[in-house]
Amino acid sequence: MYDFNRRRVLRGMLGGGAVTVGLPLLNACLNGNGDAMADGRPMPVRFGTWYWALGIAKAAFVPNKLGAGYDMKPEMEALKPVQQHFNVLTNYTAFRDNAPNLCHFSGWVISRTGTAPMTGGNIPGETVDVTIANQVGRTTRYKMLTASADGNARDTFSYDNPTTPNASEVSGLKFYSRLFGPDFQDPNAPTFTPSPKVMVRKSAISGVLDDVKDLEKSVGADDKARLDQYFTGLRHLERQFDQQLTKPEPIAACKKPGNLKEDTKVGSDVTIIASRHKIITDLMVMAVACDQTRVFNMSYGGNSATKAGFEKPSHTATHEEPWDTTVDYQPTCSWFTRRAMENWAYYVKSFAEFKEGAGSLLDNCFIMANSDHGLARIHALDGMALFTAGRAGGKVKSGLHIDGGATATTRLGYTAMRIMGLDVPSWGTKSNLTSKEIGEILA
Amino acid sequence: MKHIILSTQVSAFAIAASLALTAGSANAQQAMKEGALGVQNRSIGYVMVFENRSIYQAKDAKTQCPTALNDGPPEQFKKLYPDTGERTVEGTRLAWEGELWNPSAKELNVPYYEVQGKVGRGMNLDGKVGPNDYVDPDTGEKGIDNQIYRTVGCTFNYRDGQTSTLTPQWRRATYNIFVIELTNVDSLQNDDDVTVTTYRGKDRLITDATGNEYLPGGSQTLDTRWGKRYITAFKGKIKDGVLTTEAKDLIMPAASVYAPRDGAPDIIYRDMRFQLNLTDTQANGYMGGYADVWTWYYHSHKTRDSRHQAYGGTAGPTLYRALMKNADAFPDANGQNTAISTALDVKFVHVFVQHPGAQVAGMVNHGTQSAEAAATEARARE
Repeated sequence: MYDFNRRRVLRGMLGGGAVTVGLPLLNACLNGNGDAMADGRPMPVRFGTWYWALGIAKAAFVPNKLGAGYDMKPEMEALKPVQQHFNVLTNYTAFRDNAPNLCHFSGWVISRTGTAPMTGGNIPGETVDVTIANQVGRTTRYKMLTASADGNARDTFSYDNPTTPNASEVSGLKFYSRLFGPDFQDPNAPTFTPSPKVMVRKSAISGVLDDVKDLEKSVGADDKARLDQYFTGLRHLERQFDQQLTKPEPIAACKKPGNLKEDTKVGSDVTIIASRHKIITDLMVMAVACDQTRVFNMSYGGNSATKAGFEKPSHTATHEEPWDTTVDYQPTCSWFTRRAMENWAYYVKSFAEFKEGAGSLLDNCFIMANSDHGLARIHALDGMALFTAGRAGGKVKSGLHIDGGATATTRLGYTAMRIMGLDVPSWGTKSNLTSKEIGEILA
Repeated sequence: MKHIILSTQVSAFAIAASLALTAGSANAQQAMKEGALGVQNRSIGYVMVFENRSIYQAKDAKTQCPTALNDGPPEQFKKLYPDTGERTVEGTRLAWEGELWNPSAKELNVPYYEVQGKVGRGMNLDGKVGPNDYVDPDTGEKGIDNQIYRTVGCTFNYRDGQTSTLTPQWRRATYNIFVIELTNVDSLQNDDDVTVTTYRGKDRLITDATGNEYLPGGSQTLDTRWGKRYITAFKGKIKDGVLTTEAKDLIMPAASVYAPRDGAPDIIYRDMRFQLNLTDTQANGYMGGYADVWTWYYHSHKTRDSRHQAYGGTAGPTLYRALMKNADAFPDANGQNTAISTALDVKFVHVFVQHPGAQVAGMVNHGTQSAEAAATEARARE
């Protein structure tokens, strides 16, 4: 048997520039069982997020039973077909300590950054997906991908730092073009032609890096620190260019989707949001399957979703719809949540049904999902629900209902980091500081 | 073995987390242990941590509001400007906004529901028992003056207990921290001569981890430079642990629900007084007086626009007319009452008061603006 590995390459010259060309590995990449690489290393585990707005209604959502085989209340009914693929985590709290309750903001910011924001629009630091992407996302074409079904590019829950949001892809056509347009390198194509454009950029950046090294010798400590940061960023970019100049390893499951003929529709009706969510999810699944990224964010949103024949959008309904004491929730608000869960079900199903090796793509993913509130009507930051989906290459169990006992939502982000291989002793600040993983879901 | 190590680590982290959780209250607990809370140098400070209009809610809302709760802006807008054919922006949306911000005297042909019955909470402000007064449901005290309760008691926003509560959102800024300092205090149980001075504080409140509960034992630096208008000294007495004071005009620092300071006016109270149950760590009870109608109304809508008022079914045009109808004190030259009786349910927790300088004592009642002058200025400005 040939001695294959994922980075075995041919070196040569093309168009005056040095390029590296990977050997075709196809099925030889995998071991005989299809559950690991041929050299014994595990399949790559990817990390994803999913977001929905306006929380849950406890009476319509929280199962009575804990553990496996739990019952499903009306807001979770759509998830029955995929129950074995996810965990539902209820009764978690986003602690704000002495920070204000910034409506529809504090909850998700705490869950994604670990810190309660002090003012509206104030993102305390990088979000958990970025932390993870900085660790696992440097060897793919995209460090991470972020998309939203809400139709608004600003609808993002991913920040590199307090002032740098990762804008969402909201157009199916543009997302398709970005992923599978002219720059897409089909890993299963028989030939590989490095992009001259990337080669030029790679060449330019190498020159800049040399200049930065020279410049460092003649500046003070503060500027040196800034240059170090700049240098690190450029090195990351350079590595990504390297990746694009390397013949991708064949991936049997990767199939470039057919061209999209129509863009996603504009509108806030739940059916339109669902159609956007479906198109973008399908593209995201293939992007992950084609190893274009190992970190992916998807937002269903739904804060401004509308229902035909009902004059108020979902958020307004949470504040204005009367409480129905016979069922102990607001019926129309619960209707909107059920639509969100239908989309979560589609998201999970899409990854679960995509074959990869001997299992599914979802088997090699860990996806966390969260919302902005518990009960949105009163902007509650307790009683919050979370989800995980996927087995993370066998590290995680699924099909469970866990009661968090009013502990911090940050436990999920911390658990995700540990699963993704980040050796961090704790995560979060003040009362959101945690070093306690959600152990019940770990295999 | 691995599991044991992990458990130990988790326990250690849990202890650390527990310590972190209680760090905010550690000073308070230590202070209580040493007996440091309470009266020191014959004075004690408290900061307001809860404030809500005193609205009695019967178990069955139908006894108080037999017809219905009031319409909110969307419902009232449809009734005022029905879609009967061609409509103009001027005759609909702008007309609504006009009625909201500059209410006219014309009758509006839409219903407005007031509280029915004789039961209500608050304080007897005028010492009399009148035909419009209420009887306290718990103590049986008669002569309760609370016409704001009559006016808004059938409006969801003020009954809900969530959207109407003033404190949680308002207290997120430091603009509107309300501090009282009791001086000349010999005992928190009985003292026939104490002074209660109100201030604006400059520091954030100490909370528990959820941010929902405020803790005693913090400190508050008084704003004696920019907050002079909020400084008012009341003479009072303490009997069986209950503080009562004389009535004086009071300007309370206020802020918007959705922004710390976006132009919402302070609320001006005439003949305000305190009735508080005192302990070393808390002071809870009533503040009662007559709210200046215009600033009360104007503040309500500056801090919550029509969209947010719709959350609680509060429609400005009819609300303003009801407030003016039920106003019961401080008539203007035309005999129209300009203030309306009200009571606030209030809670304070103990704080260590930090006076910014020795000159502070001399500032009390110097350079402050009278409530009447402030109310006149507010009307003229708007």
